[in-house]
Amino acid sequence: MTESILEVKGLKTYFHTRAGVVKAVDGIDFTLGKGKTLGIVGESGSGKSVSMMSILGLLPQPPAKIEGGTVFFEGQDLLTLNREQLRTLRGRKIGMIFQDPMTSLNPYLKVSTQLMEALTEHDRSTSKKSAYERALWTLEQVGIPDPKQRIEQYPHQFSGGMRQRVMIAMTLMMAPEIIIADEPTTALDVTIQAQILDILRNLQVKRGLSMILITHDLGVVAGMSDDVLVMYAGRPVEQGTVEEIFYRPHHPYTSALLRSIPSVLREDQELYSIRGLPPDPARLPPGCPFAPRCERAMPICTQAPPIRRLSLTHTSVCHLEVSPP
Amino acid sequence: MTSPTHFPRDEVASIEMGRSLWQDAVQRIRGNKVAMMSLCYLVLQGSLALLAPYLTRFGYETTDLMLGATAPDWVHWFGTDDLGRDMLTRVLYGSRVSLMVGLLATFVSVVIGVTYGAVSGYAGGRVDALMMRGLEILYAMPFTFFVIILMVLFGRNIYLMFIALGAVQWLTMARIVRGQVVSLKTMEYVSAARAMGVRNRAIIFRHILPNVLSPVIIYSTLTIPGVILEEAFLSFLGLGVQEPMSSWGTLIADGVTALETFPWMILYPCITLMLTLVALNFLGDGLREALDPKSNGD
Repeated sequence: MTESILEVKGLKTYFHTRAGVVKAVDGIDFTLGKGKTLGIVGESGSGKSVSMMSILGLLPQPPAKIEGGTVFFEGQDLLTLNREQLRTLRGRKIGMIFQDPMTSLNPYLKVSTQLMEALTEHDRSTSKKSAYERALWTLEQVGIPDPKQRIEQYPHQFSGGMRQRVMIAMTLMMAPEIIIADEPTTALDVTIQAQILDILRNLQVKRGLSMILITHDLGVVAGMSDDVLVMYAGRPVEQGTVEEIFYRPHHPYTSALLRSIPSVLREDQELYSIRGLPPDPARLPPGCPFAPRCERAMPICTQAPPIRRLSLTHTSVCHLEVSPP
Repeated sequence: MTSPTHFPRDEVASIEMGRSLWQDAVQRIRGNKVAMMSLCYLVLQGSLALLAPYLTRFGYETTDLMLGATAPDWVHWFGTDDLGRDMLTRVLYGSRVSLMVGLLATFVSVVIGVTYGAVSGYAGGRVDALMMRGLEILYAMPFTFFVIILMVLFGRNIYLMFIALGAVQWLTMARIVRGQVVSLKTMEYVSAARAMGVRNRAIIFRHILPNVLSPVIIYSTLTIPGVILEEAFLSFLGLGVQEPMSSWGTLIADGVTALETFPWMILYPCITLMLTLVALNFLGDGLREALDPKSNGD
């Protein structure tokens, strides 16, 4: 196995609301290998983004509270760091790309200002000139044509895809070791999606970046990741290498997800969809949270499912013993 | 578009240049005739006030009891008051006080209101709740009395009046700013900046406040007339500036007593005050349309 760069164990983030405690993330574990990409898959509200925000200390507390777990990065537990220590880590060591490039750039600031800010906030000694040059260079790296002109423009003069490139450039300003991409292509149209993914993949290869890719698009995961974590209702469901998840899924939820990918080959068939709705996170069913929607649910599913180790890298949290055909 | 000399090539060039939302707003307000006229009027009014000592041959305190009150003529364009003081001079000097009160008190209200609102909104949670309840308590106090008490306690000091008026006006400003900040801090670019490791202070000043600026500017232009009116009211009650200094308020107060005998004494200060207020309101409206084009047509 490769060296790991980020190790998350038993992370729990609860929201204390008036309606009760919402267990947004309820005990997830994963390991990000150095230079690898981990894809985190799940429906909206499955706790993908919240777990990433918890790692970076970006959640407003209260109402959010990290109830347990450890996040080891470079020998220290990020959850024990104070605000200032976390701040200096954000951007410098771990960068994050957000979902909607239309709203993640400040409309009142020039692109140059926003790019340079990422650098000067961490290193006050950086001269304006060198920060500017680095910004230019980074824009070029993410494939923005005419960076010299574009850098002086404002976000509203950029298209969606170009803005996402700027966002990527922003995270690259500090040369972080990990990039967390939170649905980086969801708000873009398909052709632009492919370009953005290409840029991310190239950068990763060139710089040996480690990446966490949050998405609900299984196609993106298949093309980009080495390992996959499938989440449901704030809990891990199945975890393994890309091959294991796509070719030998064990958990019924994973298989159901894979079956709901529309296929060109089966165009006469109706599109498969998982029946029911994701559960209300404030009122999860006892035992396996997926049981009420599961086609293979058994009476035992009202009890907490065991973690089944299917291979060195492949685990599944399910009562089922054998993988379904 | 606007001028026939606009060649397509120039247009392309101007598109490729960075154009901020501010520049767009300037462009929009330039096209608003009423707002531009109001601005011109206000600039004129301001320079007349500044240059008052050089514009008239009379001192604002020079009485001419032999002359007494005279109707407007070629020597005294606005006439004289019952002590023989030149009304034009007094209106000009009065505009100095009134405009200064308007600007300074508004400035005070902007400084306090924006800071309070920004802190409250950004901090959120318990701090926010506490600060907002405090604000509501202040809201509930009758402020004219508050100002009057201040005036009585500390004497009729013109600078104290600026502060007192400003301190009264910041409440609404704080609310507006807080509301904006609460919605702005959940914007993705704020999260993005935080994820980039940007400090809280830089986030407030660089990312949030510039976005709050347009409502602040709009509301300030609408605060200035309010403050001017408030000052006129206080002066009218005899709590404002003291004789022989004048403000529009004191002039109007003087004029009221002579309403039937020497009507020009109230006419000219009233007209100036009214024109200024109207111009400020039009300018405020124009700014709102320019800075927040989505709200057009309400």
